[in-house]
Amino acid sequence: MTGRSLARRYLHLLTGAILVAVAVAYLWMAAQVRLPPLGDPLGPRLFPMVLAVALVAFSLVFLAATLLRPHKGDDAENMPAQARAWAALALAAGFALILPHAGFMISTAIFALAALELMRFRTLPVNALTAVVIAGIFHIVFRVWLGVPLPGPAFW
Amino acid sequence: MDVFLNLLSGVQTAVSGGNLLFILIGAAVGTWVGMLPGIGPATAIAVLLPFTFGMDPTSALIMLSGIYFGAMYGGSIASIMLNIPGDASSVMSTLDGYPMAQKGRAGAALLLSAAASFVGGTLGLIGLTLIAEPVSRLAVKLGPSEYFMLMVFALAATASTVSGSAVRGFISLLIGLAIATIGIDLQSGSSRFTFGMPELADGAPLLAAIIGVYAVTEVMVTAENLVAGRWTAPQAIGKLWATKAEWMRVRFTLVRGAVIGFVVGLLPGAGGAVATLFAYSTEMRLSSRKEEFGKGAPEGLVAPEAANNASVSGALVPLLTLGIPGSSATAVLLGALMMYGIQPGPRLFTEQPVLTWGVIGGLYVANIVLLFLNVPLIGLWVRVLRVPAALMMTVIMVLAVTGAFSLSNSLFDVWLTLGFGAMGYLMRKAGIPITPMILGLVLSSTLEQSLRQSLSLSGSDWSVFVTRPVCLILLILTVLMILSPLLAARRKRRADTRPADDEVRPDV
Repeated sequence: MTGRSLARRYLHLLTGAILVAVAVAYLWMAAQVRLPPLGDPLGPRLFPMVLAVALVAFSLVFLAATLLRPHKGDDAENMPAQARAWAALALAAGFALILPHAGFMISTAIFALAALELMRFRTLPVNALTAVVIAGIFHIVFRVWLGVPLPGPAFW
Repeated sequence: MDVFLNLLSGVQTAVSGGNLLFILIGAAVGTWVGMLPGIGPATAIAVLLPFTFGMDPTSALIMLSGIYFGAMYGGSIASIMLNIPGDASSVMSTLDGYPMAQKGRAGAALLLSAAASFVGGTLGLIGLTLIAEPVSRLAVKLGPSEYFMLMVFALAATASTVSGSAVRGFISLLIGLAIATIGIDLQSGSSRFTFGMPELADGAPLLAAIIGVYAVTEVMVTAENLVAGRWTAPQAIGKLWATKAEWMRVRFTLVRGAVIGFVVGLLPGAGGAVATLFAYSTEMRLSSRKEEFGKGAPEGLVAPEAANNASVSGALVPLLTLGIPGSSATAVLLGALMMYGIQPGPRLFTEQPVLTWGVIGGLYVANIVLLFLNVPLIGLWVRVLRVPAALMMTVIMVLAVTGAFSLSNSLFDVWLTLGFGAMGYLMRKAGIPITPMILGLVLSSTLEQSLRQSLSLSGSDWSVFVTRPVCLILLILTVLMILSPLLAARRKRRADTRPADDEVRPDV
């Protein structure tokens, strides 16, 4: 087994372990749901309990299957590439954080520039120009034409 | 006669006001996203959904259905020109479409593909028109226990067939069902899994989940896979012309593909991918020129293309008549209905005839619009194939974050969307499919209500699910559906371990 396929196996084991933990926590929380004093004899607890038991069972099967079956090493994982995926998510989070303060136009342009750089679109000046064009088009289409209430800059 | 009049009024709705423009936008966006690898109709509908809230629901649904239909047309363009399928239902089109393009017959392949999509779309729509109302009349007669079992069957069928592993499918489904239990229970008023957060009182926003697991996840996956040279140059189109011999070869294939596509589309979880596979293998079995398949046989392109488009109409039957989606795109469409405050379910067809017939009429119009978009303007679409993925993904992420923010003008929905995106990414890494989770999210509340109503009416007697004939049949079908992948896997294992005398078997 190669180091990379081992990483994939660990990922599956970790996923299985998280699934089991979440399923057990969901089962415990479902058992805590307060029942109403009157009416509705089955109550709001039954359905989540049924789901929780099934989720625990399937998660255990998933974990057991991962543990018992050795993973074949032909589908390699690429850690730097995965980091790029998480970086894309982090950029989106940054975009959301500055959106209410910098407004739609400016934050979109900043995010677009960062995303284009991350995904190695073109040279920095071209990326910057593209980012401004994207922000402008979005502003015209969504804010001006469609009237979507998008935030303006807080400092204006 | 009634059906014809209803259809006529539906077409009238579809072409009145600004609806024709919305059809055009939907068809164009659908064709565009259909061509882009990974971006299926579900993602496109999800990211555009928040921006349709100000629209009339009928107009919005007509446009969103146009995207769904258009994506089926667009998928074949990338398959033929680049050998890269836009989504799973376009994979089979690469087998003969790309070899045709390599032989300098790209124009013929694109024309035959557009014609097959049109014929498949039209025949599928005729099927939808004819059976939708009778099915909806039957559907309103279903009691809560039958409706509950029907949903269980549809969900189990999807979970067990949508990916290679039934266990992973069910995990995904259960995650979706469980997430949807967050919020105030409508029947009792009890608070469930809200952790004291008032934002969660109404439940986890469905749209945040949909945008997250489709759009955000797709951007993450593309960012990961983006390597230099991934986008190959398209083949030259050449003359947009198919010979008389080619048309003659495919004339029955068109009809067979459409019928197979429509019937398979009706089945929950099967979808376009299974329909195209089935249509291709049937055509190969029936053909006297089997050796040409995979090397540029027109039938090998036309069969999956006709099936692909017909399967859309098939998938819309359970959505419009029962309120039960069977695929990711129809699940998102059902989510759209809920967002517009329309209660999906067996009464949708009778209580919202303008909307349902408007959507069907809109699809007829969209099918014609798409033929014009895909034949004379094919050169333009091929040029669009050259747009780099980095640019597309940036635009999609902007749409996703902006759309999530505009749900309630708060960052809470954006965080949820990004959280769902991360979850979708991890699920894909672990080989857990997304579609069952979305189906679970969309149907959870109705499923729970039906269960509680059934048990209330039966005095908490669970035998109601086996003593009523329809329930029993659906229960048996559900069990068979769950067991079938296990039996198939066992059969495959046995076949794999059989001695070498199998090698003399003829190709089937």
